[in-house]
Amino acid sequence: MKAKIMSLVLAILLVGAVSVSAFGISAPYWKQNPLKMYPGEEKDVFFNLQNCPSLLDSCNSGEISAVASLLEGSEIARITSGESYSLPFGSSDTYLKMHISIPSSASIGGSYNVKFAISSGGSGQGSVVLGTGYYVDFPVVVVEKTAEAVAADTTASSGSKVNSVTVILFVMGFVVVVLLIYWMLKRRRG
Amino acid sequence: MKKEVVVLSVILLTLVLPYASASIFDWFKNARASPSQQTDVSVTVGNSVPTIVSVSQVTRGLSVGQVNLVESAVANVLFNFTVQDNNGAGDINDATAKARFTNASEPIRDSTGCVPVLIVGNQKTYQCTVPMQYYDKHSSWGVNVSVKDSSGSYATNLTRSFTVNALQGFSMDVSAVSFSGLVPGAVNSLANVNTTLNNTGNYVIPADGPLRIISVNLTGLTDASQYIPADNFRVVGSAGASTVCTAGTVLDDAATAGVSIANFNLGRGVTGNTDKLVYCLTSVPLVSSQTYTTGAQGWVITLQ
Repeated sequence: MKAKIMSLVLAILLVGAVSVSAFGISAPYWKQNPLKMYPGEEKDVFFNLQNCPSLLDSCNSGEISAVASLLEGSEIARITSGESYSLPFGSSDTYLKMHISIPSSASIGGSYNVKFAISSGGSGQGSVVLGTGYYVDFPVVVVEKTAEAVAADTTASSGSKVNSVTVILFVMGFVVVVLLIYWMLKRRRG
Repeated sequence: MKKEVVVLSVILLTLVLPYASASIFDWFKNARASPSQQTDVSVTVGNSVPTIVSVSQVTRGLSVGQVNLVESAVANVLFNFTVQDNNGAGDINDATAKARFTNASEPIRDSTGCVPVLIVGNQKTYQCTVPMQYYDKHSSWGVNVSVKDSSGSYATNLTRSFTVNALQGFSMDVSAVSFSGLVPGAVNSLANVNTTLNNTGNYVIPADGPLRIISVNLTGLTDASQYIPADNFRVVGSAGASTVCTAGTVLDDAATAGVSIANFNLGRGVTGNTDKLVYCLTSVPLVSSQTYTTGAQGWVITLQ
């Protein structure tokens, strides 16, 4: 019986050492560098995905498939570029796009936390296959609308007011001229 | 008929008036008295010092004022600045145009060249290329541009800054790890290979965040009802290798966010940027003899 047990050697496969390159992600915001937005503001944030852009020999030269999922902050953020990403070998021009929208009722000084995961399954074969992944985690702080943003809004709205006034004046003028011509013609006939 | 023409003219004039703003009085307002006496005037025209009138945003990627570095490589960052010299754009010395990126705790990154790309009147625009390393700190960087004219007069501008984004990236030397010669009930078995991680970005572990492993159980290939729990494995960084089987971090398949691995340090730069993960299977359960594997799902080594 003892011998029988001893013969139950677990066959956990040996795996050849294969050089593997993980993909990378470049994020514009992190814990010490929060995204600052004002109530009512909307913004697209881009995260750059890379797959061995250095083309080093140590890289696995295949395409990488990665999957992203939003873990925190769904009340203000959503990933708009989809869940799945194919990263060609040597590329650094793929972007994960996230749309962030701060409610108009948000309090100044308040903050949200946004966190998403992106990972790639392992390509090895063996007992413990190793994949790679990243958590991207950053705060979104609600701030007062900056003077620049206010000025931009004012310019935009005053521009549209000027346009409206011009159109109204033009239409009024046109109507007056038409009525005048009509009046003159009528008098002439009379 | 004449009356009608007059009425029409008045109405048209009324419509046009809101768009006219000048009046006859403006002519008098702008009138200047002329000198009443002749005089000799001698003028010496000196060198006009050049001035940097604008520095463009520094951008590499889709977001203005942000720079994405490139894993394990040099990222050439391009931007423009414009100089004005009232002696003429030709008075600006192209060979002296340069740029540098600065951060208090980092090496200075100097431009490899600034070339003139546009001349308009007395202004000349240069495009500069500044190479940045993949391990340059993620933070705010300052921009310093400068140029001289043919007389050696100097213009500089330090007002622009930009953000170097956080680049999380690493490579591994193996795609899987293995254990051999195991028997049911075996304890403290080390993996045949460790995993060496190489930092290919500017993220520092654990200062910027820990390394985590999201694990799953190893399931029998022949009889899937048999398995080796992930919790029977311990993992640690090289600093804790000698005690991995007793003090290493215990994996947990129930922890969906993974567990933070102890004693794992990954610096940025060309030194101190590698570390090893060491694995120990602390006990083999009394399971049948067959191959056990994580399957393609695997364990996900994750930077946070």
